[in-house]
Amino acid sequence: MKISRRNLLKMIGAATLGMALPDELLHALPKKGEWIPYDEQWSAGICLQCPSGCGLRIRSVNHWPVKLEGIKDYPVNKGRLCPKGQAGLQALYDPDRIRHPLRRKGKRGEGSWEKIPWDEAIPLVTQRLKKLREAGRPHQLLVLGGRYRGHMLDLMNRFMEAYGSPNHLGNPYRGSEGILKGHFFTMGERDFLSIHWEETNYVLSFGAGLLEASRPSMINLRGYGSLRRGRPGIRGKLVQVEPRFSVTASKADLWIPIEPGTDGALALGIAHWIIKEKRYDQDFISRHTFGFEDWKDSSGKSHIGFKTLVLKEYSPRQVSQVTGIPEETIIRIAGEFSSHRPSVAVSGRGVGMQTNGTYSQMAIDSLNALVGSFDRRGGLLLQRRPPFQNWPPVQRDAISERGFSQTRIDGAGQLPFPFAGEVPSRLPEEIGRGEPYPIDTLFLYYTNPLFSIPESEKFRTGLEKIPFIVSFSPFMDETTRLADLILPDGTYLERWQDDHPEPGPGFPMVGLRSPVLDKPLHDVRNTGDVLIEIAKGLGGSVERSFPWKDMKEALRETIKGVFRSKRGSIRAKEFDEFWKALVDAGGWWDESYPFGGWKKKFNTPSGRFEFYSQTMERGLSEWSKRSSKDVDSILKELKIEAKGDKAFLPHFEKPRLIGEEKDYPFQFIHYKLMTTAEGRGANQPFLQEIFGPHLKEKWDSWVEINPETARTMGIQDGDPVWVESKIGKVKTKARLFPGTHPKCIHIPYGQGHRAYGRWAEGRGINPNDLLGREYDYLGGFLSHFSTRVKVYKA
Amino acid sequence: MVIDLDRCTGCQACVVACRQENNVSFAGEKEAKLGRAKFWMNLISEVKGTYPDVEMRFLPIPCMQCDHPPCTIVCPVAATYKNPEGIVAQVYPRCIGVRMCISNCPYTVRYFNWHAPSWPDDYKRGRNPDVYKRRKGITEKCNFCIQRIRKAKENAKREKRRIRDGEVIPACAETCPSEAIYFGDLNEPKSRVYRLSKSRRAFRLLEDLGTEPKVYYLKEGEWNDG
Ligand code: SF4
Ligand code: SF4
Ligand code: SF4
Repeated sequence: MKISRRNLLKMIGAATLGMALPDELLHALPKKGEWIPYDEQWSAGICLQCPSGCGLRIRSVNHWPVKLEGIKDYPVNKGRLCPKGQAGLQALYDPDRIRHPLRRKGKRGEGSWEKIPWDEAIPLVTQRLKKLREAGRPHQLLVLGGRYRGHMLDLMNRFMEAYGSPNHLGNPYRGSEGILKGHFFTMGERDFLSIHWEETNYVLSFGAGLLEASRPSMINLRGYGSLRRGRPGIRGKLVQVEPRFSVTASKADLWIPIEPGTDGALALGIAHWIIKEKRYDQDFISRHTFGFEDWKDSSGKSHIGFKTLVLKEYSPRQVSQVTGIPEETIIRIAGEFSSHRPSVAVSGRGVGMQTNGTYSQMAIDSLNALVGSFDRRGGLLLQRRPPFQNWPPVQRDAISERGFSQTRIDGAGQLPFPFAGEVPSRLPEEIGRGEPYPIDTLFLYYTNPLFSIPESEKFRTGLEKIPFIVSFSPFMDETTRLADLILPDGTYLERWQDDHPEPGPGFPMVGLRSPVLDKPLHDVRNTGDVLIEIAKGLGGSVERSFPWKDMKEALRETIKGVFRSKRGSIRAKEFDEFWKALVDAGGWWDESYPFGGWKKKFNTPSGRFEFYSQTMERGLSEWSKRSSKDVDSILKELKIEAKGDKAFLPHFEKPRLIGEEKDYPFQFIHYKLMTTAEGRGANQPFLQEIFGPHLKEKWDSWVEINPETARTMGIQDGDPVWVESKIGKVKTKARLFPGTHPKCIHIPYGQGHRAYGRWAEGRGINPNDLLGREYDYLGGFLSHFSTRVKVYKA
Repeated sequence: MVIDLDRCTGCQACVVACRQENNVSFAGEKEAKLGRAKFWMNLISEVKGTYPDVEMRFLPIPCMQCDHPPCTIVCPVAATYKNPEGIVAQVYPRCIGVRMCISNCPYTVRYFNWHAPSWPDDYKRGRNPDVYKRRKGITEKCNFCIQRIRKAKENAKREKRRIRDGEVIPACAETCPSEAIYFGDLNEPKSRVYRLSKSRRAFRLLEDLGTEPKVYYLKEGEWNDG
């Protein structure tokens, strides 16, 4: 028996000697003594099939992983895994993984590659980047990143700063920016909040896919169980507001169908009743909020407060007309929400992916302020980071200073996207024009824009203008196919990487992935290691910014802070002992959430929860000064109808849509299923085969149509149909689903790959092929729910 | 086994965990669409109503391990039988594939191997060595992860003690995110499953057939529960 590194470490549960049947005996009944002994080991890891970041106990037999379970006390998943987590070994063993570095041979995208060794591949990148820097053009390096975890994001940021390019589009929260922007304007929070499920009594969900696709997925799944049956005698309530009858809606006590894009109005209607009936938390409002009552600023100018605005414009009757929800229902929820405390209002993609997403989220946040649910038992948890040790400061030279201070290629942080951190969907045009400067080299890290961003054909044309594309993907996805060089990473089971669940349980915690195999399954390398090696090859200040041998060493350094804090689940005298315990346990966490430990201070100009967002007001005034436009005309440029104070308060803006109702009668509401919530499971047969349980669909796509509507159109269940928007059309199968809003159609995400391995490719349709690009300019993100479509028989 | 439908979210973690644990290969698109995918643990669904009065239900169904199993009595070669622990087991080497048991199972939880199980070579390393291979032409089904029960028994024997409540957990129950599946000894009045099986919410599927299933369900709660 081979002795692996794993055997030497003391694993969770000591390695035991198991027995297996020899192949030739498998069809016979075993008699005593006919078993073959095998070597069984258990090790720890962290799942990355979605951003939830669940702790894994990996069972290996004779060195090979055979089963994944959850780490019993890992705070995110407490021993449990979702179906994607359970299917994880199909990512590891995927026969279509990229097995070694590849250099393009034929034309771009043609799929003809030659295998090259690492020691030739890495210098190809280093030499090119070196020249680019020497030419004073480091800003022409563009990095598109996606699912960063832990310090990998810091490492890439560091690389870009040291190298000298501002063009890092690395938002791991793409698609949920609306929620974050709302939190940012009202609370100065940059994280999601999670629900304290164990003690909440009432969850009012504005389209959050709590049981399908949400952040943090596993905490919500577990939480649902404990909401219902976790406390003797108390069965918590769930109310789901959503146009489509989703799984979450089906499990809710009350499902409230709503006109798409009007969640903000509903939240304000609920607020109206709570304020009018004085059912709000007066203590929280007076001590911890700003802009509730009318107020005067330092120059003596009067401003209207949230209360005045809401009482004037959002009575249940007014709101009923906008949302299509009966007045009584609005009053009923308002009553329950304010009397079943602790209660929370949460949201999901449906709110955050609209042109009015930021304001709607601010309205939903306001409901939480009205019942004072922040940082309370049974309320919403603010996220705290572990006590990491900071890496030494980045070294910059004159070239990186100059490069780094160039304006970004995607226009983020400029009008009309003053608050955006990145605007990836604008890249095709910007790159295409070569303005303000051309892009020379592109890195792709854990992202696949040709699948995940609307109007992918334009994106492709844009990318094709970039002379050199490097992908770090373990899989041959659509965008990687366009690359000139592939430096494949391994899967999440094969590398050193830390992981901070965002959002997690609120209290500080960090998970640690360590390689489950002695070496990766194929000739692949941790991108963290590769990046460090590239930095070293570049020399000078770039090299000096990376004083570590590899990612593991960089991680060890930062984890020293956690070790020194002498808190939490692991304590040790020596760091090495701490590290070893961390590897074995899969993570470190502080025992529990420090309720009341919050300093009652939000990260806003007033230090309070801001109904009236001074952050927004100051930001826009600043732009007004810089651009010599007045604030109202900037608002107009951001396509906001409100003027004056109202623009800085939560309010309802009519959603903007692509296509006229008369030509395109349906609103297109795509959704995510538990099986592929993050769109990356399509290459795993176990997930394909259970794809859409509500309609018993497998291995395929479909469009959901309301049965009555379909009847008037002469469409029957299973008929092939075309779905067409102003942008494009796709052919698929009609499924009559009574949970479909008569004026909407629905298609799930996950299928429609044009690459990504044998199980995914050429199967079903991609909703992004229909979507146009509309924006919430204020929040600076793409609004994915803004496209109208028509449907006809094929 | 007890499955609490008030906790179940229809997520299908149990379905995948079962397949990975028991080396149940996937059928692939063509076969799956012919209804030939094997799900020892299966999630079935029902949707009814008209917008906006719609209902949707999910039901995870493993083998009920009937105490009076209609499937075993029809097997001409006694390839399936109720073992002393009460588990309805399948003896693969004996099975001749007449599929009488399949048609006689009212819960449709028996699956036939129309083909030899196919595994891409790369996946083969990830198979569980503790379960039997199944060849083409035989029937297979959920056996409450009998390999896990065996192991726990051996451990208990070695340590000269009885199996503790909650010590054996089938793969589905171990992973269920919302803790909807409970497993234990229904004959043991002190066990959790015994207690839950006596709950006011407890029921069994097709109870009037007299099959005496050993899987109990707890029905969903109402607005006024607690
Ligand atoms: S919730 Fe996400 S991280 Fe957790 S098991 Fe599922 S896929 Fe993995
Ligand atoms: S894993 Fe649990 S919650 Fe998910 S479908 Fe199975 S029983 Fe239901
Ligand atoms: S559920 Fe079906 S297969 Fe299982 S014991 Fe009962 S009759 Fe037999």
